[in-house]
Amino acid sequence: MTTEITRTDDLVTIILRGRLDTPSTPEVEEVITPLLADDSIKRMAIDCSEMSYITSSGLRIFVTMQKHFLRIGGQLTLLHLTPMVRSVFDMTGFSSIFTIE
Amino acid sequence: MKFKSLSTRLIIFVTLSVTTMFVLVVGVMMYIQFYLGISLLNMTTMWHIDSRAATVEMKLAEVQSTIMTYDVKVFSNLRSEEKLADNFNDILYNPDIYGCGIALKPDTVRHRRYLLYAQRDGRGGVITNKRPESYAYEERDYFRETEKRMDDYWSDPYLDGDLRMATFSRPFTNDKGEFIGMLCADVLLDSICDYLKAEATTSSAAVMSDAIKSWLCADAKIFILSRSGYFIVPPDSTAHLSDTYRTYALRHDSEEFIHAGEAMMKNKAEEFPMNNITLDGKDYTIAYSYIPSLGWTVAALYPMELFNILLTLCLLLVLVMLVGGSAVMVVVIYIIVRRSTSPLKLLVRASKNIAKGDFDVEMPRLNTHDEVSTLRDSFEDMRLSLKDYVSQLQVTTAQNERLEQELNIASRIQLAMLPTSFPHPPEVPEVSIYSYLKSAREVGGDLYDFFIRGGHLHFVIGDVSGKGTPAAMIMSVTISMFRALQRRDVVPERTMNALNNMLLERGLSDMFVTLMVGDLNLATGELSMCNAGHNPPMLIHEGKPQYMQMHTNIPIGVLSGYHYRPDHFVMARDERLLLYTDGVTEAGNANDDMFGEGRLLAAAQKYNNKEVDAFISSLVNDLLGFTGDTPQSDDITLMLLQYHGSGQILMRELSFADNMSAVTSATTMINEVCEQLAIAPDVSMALQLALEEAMVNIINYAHADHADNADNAFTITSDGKVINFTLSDNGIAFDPTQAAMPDITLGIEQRREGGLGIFLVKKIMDSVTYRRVGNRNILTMKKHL
Repeated sequence: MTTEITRTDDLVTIILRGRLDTPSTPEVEEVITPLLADDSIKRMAIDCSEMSYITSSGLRIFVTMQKHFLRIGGQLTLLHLTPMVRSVFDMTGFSSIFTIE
Repeated sequence: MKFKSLSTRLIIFVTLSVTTMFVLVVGVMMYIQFYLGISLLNMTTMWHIDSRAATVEMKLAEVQSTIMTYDVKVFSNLRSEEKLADNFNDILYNPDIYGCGIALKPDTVRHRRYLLYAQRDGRGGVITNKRPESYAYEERDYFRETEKRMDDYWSDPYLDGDLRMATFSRPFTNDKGEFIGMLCADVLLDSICDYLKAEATTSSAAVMSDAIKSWLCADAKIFILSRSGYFIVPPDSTAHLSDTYRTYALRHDSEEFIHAGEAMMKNKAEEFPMNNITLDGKDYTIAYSYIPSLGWTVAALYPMELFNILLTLCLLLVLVMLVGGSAVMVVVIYIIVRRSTSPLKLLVRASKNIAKGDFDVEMPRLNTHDEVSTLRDSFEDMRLSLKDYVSQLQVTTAQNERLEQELNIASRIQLAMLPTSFPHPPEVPEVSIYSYLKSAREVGGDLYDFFIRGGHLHFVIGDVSGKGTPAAMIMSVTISMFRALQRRDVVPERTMNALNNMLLERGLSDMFVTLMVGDLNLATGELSMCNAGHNPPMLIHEGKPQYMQMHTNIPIGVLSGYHYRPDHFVMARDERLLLYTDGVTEAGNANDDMFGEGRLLAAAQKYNNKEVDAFISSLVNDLLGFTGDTPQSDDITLMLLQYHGSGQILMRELSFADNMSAVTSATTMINEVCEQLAIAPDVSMALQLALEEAMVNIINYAHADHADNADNAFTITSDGKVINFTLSDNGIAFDPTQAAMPDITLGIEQRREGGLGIFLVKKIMDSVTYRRVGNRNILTMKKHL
């Protein structure tokens, strides 16, 4: 699992590559947690085009992020979901909770 | 047998017996009468002849005494013919003396011959004359016999002119005692004959009937025999004066008369023939009386003709009375029997109507009070009882029919409760089942059931105590409860515990059920069974059957809260399991032998090469052949299941501790398997997700603080159509399938954490089942490809 972070103004774009499985969840959490602590970041876009696999623990990271931006009045956008990830979001009803483009 | 009416039989029996009795009595009476008659006849004839003899004797005694009175006078007047004539006149006063005279021996008192004789002249006078000297009287029999005897003498009869006579002679003697002559008196034999024939005047004669009198006096042949056998009085006109009894008898050709005469001459009564004498073809009886003073024998032949006629008449009369009496008796019996049996005929007609089912038939009214009327009353009682009985029977029959109908319906319902389709390959590749159930009555207490759910075959076989409707109802309850319970819980002992408690809670404690609940994991062959007092099942391994050793436990419905202990086996490929009820092993035959476990074992061995259905059919045939015509006493149930193996191929297996790295290994395995099975990547991804979620659950929570002891396993099996994941761990018991599911319609703020993982598992997989086996949690997940 690799992450690539680019910042312009208050928008942070994260590219997640690989399988977001249970063993790799902690390292993604380590990347995300500092970004959420930075008040200057009001908008975040996650590029999932190269994330082939997600589990419920990966979903929990997204839930945490979504709750944070809702609290600060920011915005979280999920981009380019792969079919597997998309189907997991559909099954769990998260498709309607998140902004997915 | 030919019909013979009562009247005919009665008439025959009564007539025969009465007639026989009549004939016997009459025969005896006739016999007595005959001998009484003969005795009376003999007495009468004896008396008659005695009285005749007495009369003759009396008359002749008078003749003798007359002669004796005058003999001295005559003797003194021998020289005076005048005086002699006077004497003779006096003598002839005796009317019985026909003539009298003296005859002197020549040359004694007078010279030459001298015979002076007086006789009646026929006109009341007396003629006295002297016989000429030329008449040689000394040569005559009477003179010679008198001289010779020197005593009184009655001569034999002789003919004087045409007069038949006999002469009484009394000798004279001189001083020297020498015979000098005699005084004699002639008696006409005809006058003696008249005395004989004269009617008796004695008092005893008065009692005799006219018939007997005439018979004795008129028809009798009375005769007198002289000392030398001549007839003084002849029996009839055919007798000559010169006849003796012998010449007479010879002429008449009667041997018997000679014997009678000889006896009379000897005067021997013991030789006297009392039997009949036949003379000139006629029967006579003879009687005689000897007169000693005369030396004569008075005798008579009495004709038996009248006696015989009387006897015959008597016999005829009796016969006529016998026949007439019998005829009257037959008629009387016939009338009596007809009168007695005519009500019987009416009764017969009435009873025939009753037999045809007409119970309202009128019984004949009888005015008599006898056996027949009693019979009629009994018939009437019987008719009323029958009527009651039949109407009750109709009601009962209707009730029975309704009950039977209901029972038939119940029987159909009960059959409908049993599974009708038997799983077998190819539809169910793992297992073949066949079963047989035959109730001893319409409904029974045996039960079996099976169904396949979640890769498991659930089965039950059982026997409710007792038979009939109550047992059938408990059977239905048990099957229903089994299905309901097994739907929730696949562990046999828990099902059993629950069944036990449910039965008891429903107050059905007076019934108990022996039960075998089983659960076969079709994928692995793992077999769990719980036995509640049921017959041990038979496991047939490679053609060798043997009864399985297992916990027996107690039947359900006996003890509340009892903990049933299970047994665990693993069925190998093609092993068979035979389940049965005690109706099989305890089926009896006519010799009271039971089919028994031995025969069941032998039959199982014999038929093991047959398919399950043929196996059961052959076994049932053997069983029926054994019991023969003996009625089935208990319900019979047989169930055979054969495990064909799972058909699943073990693709991968993994043992792991509580280490997250194992997740990557597991998902990698799935990925490889999916590539191998050419499964689409998205499906592969979903399977990986499901497995990972379940596995993370175990790693994170199963062992709590004892992660060091973790011993977990993961297997992938598949037959190409279904892919199976099995996760097992030795952690704390936890059934993830029972976990609460998250509500996916809620907004993000309302969502609770957790539960998503197992939610995803259930979403992705087609079936998720949990079992706790021993100290292990076993989670099986299955997905059709």
